[in-house]
Amino acid sequence: MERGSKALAYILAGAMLLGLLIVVFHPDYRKTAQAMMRGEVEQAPLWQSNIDYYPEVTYEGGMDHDFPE
Amino acid sequence: MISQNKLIGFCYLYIAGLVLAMLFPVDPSWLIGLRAVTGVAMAVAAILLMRGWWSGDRVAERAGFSGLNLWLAGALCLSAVFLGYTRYISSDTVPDMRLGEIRIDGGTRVFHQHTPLPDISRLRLTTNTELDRDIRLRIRGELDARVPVRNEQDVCRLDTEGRWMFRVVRMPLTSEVITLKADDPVGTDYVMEQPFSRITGIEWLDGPEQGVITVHRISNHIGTFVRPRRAQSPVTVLGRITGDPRVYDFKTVLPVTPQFIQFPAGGPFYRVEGGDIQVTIHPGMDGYDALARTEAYGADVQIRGELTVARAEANPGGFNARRFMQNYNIYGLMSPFQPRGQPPPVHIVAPEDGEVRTGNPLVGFSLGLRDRVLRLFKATMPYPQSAFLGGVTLGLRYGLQGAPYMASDPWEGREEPAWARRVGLGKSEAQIVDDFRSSGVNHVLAVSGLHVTILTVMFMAIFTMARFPRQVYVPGVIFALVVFAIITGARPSTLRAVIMNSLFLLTWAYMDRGLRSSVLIGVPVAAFLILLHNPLVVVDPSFTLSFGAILSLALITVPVHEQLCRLRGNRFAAVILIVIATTLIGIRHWALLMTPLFLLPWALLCLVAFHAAGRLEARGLGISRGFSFANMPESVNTFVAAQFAIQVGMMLPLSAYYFNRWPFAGAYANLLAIPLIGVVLQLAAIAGLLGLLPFIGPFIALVINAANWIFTSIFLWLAHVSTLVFPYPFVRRPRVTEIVVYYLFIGAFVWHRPLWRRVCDACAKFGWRNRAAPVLVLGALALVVSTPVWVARALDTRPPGLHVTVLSVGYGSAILVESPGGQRILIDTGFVEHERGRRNEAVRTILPFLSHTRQRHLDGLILTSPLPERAAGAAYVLEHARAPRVYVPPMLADLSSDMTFEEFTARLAEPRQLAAYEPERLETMYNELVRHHEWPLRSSLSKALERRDDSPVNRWAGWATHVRAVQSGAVLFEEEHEGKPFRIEVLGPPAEIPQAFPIENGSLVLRVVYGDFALLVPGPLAYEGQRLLAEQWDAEALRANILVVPHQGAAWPGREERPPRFRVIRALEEYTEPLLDRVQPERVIFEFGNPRPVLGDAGRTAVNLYEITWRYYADRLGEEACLSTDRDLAVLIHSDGVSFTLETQAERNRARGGEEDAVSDLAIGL
Repeated sequence: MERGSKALAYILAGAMLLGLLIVVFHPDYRKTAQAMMRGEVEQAPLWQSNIDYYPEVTYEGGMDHDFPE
Repeated sequence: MISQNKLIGFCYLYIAGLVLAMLFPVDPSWLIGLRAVTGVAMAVAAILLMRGWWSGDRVAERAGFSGLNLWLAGALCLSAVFLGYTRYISSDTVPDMRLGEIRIDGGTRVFHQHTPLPDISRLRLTTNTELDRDIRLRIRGELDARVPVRNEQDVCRLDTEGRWMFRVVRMPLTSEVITLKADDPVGTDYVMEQPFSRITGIEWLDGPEQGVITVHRISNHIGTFVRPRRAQSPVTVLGRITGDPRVYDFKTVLPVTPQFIQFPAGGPFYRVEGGDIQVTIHPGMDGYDALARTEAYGADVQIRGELTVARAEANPGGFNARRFMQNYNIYGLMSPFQPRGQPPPVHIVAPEDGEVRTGNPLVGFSLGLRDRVLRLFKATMPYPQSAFLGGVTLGLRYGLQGAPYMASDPWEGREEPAWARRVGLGKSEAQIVDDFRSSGVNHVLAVSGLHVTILTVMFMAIFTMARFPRQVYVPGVIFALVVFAIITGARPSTLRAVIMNSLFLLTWAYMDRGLRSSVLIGVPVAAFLILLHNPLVVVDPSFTLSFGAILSLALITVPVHEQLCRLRGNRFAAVILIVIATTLIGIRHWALLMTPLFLLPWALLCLVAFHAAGRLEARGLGISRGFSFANMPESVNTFVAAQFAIQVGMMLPLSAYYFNRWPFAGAYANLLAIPLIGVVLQLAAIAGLLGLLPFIGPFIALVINAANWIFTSIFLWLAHVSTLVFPYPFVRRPRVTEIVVYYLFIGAFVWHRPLWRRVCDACAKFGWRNRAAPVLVLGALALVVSTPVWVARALDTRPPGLHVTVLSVGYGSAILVESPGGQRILIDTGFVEHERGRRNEAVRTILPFLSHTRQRHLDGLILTSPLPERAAGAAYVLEHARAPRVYVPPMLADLSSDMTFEEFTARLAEPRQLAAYEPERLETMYNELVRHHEWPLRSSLSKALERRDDSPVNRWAGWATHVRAVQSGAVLFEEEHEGKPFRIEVLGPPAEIPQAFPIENGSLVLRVVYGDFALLVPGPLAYEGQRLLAEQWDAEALRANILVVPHQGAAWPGREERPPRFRVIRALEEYTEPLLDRVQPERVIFEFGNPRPVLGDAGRTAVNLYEITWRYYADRLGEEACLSTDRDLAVLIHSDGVSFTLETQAERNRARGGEEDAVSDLAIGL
């Protein structure tokens, strides 16, 4: 189990690093991060691409208190 | 108290009881006796267990099967088998209650009622003895009619406790006169329409001097209220949403447990005694938004609409949607519709002075958590990767329906580079679910052991990292797994995995037991618990594949690993080369691997190569023995052995049995897919959980899911590329006996050591000292074990003669002719819908039907017309089935994939004649038969035929196909059987094709003849063509016992968009009547179905034309002479050359208990 813990820690650390690079360089992710900062997730390109996917799961009421105003 | 072995044995014997009930079911009236035997056996077992425990009889237990222990084992076995048997029968049927009987003896008629009616009930009378004359009687009684209390909006009300409010109105009631006919056989049922709450007497009107009539109460199970097909009288259902609403972008499906039903409209409200329904609502309905959300779970609803039932299989071996739904307790379907200006048909109802009720708090919490995680996924992952993530992490498979491959149109407005297409990033119309199915990685979407185990390991790793003792965190992990099971829909595969993982965690944390021990006990206990709750899922793929996978992993991996570890040096290299070569052959030419002419020499060559590799190594030539499977990293070689075990133990036999196909790519794609899904799932779970943290959480989720976007994209690409590279072939569907024998051999491989030892001991006991003796004994055993396979094949014979199956393929045609000499000829191949419903009749119906009949070989394919409803499936049939000869009408001669649209249409007719056709219809023909400009990867007939040219490899594989255009007067597939000739005559098209509808009238007209029997298949002939056919041939040449109605029975009389009725009737009288006069058919078959996918908006007119034509034929030949593949489903014809018999799939379904109209003794068994 110790080995499993280490592997998970490595995967997570690697993923965070890779994810940061993508957020910085991928335009859609960058715009999404900026929209999150502004509290306008529904305007973000990632949310827009999902607009027809489970349309009843909307942004309101879900994460509104999770973001700074 | 109870040993582990006894518990395991009990669970497996319970399953054996279920299997016995499936194979040898008894009448539900035996249930009382069966339950009594089960109860007694369980009581005896419990007493013996208690006695052993109290007396501390451990010595006897250790001593083996003796004394008390033997009795205990017997009682446990008996109770387990009877419990399984009884449980299955009681779940599979809803028996009616026997109320009493009417005894007629001389002048006295007495009604003995044993049990009072428990609620408003319908009655059923059954004759128990022969009657010498008709009985006429009336039943007198009372009805306590429930009248609902309604609010101002006319909606039923709930009291403060959440109970539906009724006023009860008592009224005396006398039934209509019931006539029990003396001519009807004993046991005939007579259903009474009027419901009663009490029976007060029988009014005797007339009848014999002797006799007994049994009176039953029909169960109020929801399944007894459903009626097949549309256009039923609407009913009102009061119930509760008891599951998560499944929301699509165009509809929402609500699982509802009905509590009361008003049946029929305006009738009394019955209390429903079991079964759920599925209610589909559409966005146009008022109040839709409140229902199409997770919060609707648990709400009380009033629904008004038609209550119908899902369709059973339309063709032999087809998918039985009715049975599938009933396995999950769904017995009815409602699709309520709101007429303009009317109130909505579905209302959410709140209790008096209260809020709308919610469901189980744990389920509500789980579904709420799911929605929050899904919201995070939508915010941090682009579509369709988000749909994939939702599918694998949250079990949202429905959200993946219609989700395109991520590179569906990445080059929009730009020229697609060649490399992109080569590496699987080109434009594609593939959908994710299709890619996953074809590449064999579909299992990642079925949340199962893999997912649960990954999450278990992840949680354990997190808690271990935090230095928590296992005894502390294990309950938390189990709670998380339970929540995960609820979130993902609690399918059998998920439940199995959660139960097993929980057992493992508990034994590991508190009893310090290992994995193997927990698997051995976990598998049967999990199976027992799932099947105790719902025995009907025992043959459900979700259950079988899940347990097949875990048993394969647990039992087969180790012996496979051992065998592979023996491979070293040259031999290991030889095996690798053989696997690579065989794979490449399979990729390049799958049909070769299915050809004994290739397979046998190839197998011999492989054996020689393997042997030679060993000999070379013995002489010191070759690779070092250090190069071996055993020397690979342990995690890698164990993983490879496990994959091999799963392929052998589950995929090969069960995929062929359930899906008629084998995902060749699966063996390879999973080597990458399974490690990858481990990373995807763990990152998604961590992102989902951390994302719930306030403020910072969504940003962490964004970063983690940004990385996961790469991994999910790689996964989707892997599945897509595997689909492009590997074939996904149809295979022969194995019989149940073959599966059983296969698993016996797998068992012999798993336990080969103890088996060998026992055989050696037995040989020694009998004095057979020769070293070959055990081998001979094992060979003999193998022969004995295989016997059922040969016996089953020998018994599975049909009467000799001609067999014709007119398949139900919607609006279109597909007819399989099996000649008396064994030739198999397919006439037409149905429609293929690429958009919307994506319904491919070749893949959906024809090829599974061929697999079901255990044939992959056609002797010929005849396409009567280029019309898409007849020829679109040809490319797909030719991808999977051998067909050495293809016959086409003259207009399809010399097709090639480089033809232009103009070249193609010029063959069909002159441009001015084609002007009358819809351009889209001509385009569809071109796309299906020549090629598709927009989607170059899409199959077409000409491309399929070019792949099946006369090359040496194609000839070796038996894959070469010769195309021949045939004219009127040709004779095909001629043979003689028992002195009676069989042939297929070509009676059309004529040399001069009529000006109107040239494509339809230029089609092949076929007459299948065997002895005195004849079947006429006039293809899509329009009216002019029908008249011309009647003029061209005399009555003897056209005579047929059965006529397949031309043009699906929906021929247009002219070019009018909506021809008036009188014009259709005039065309029928003018053109069809002469043909009918010549043919003189005894029966006619309409190949009709929903025409909308084929004809678009013109489909509505086609339905009108069909109805008028049907009425015309029915008036002329009688209703019973007319069959339709829409109503009667597939039609199966057999002729011995003298007479013929005809059976429909609808009759078969009814005979197997999938009743259409009966309302009693709801038998849903196999």
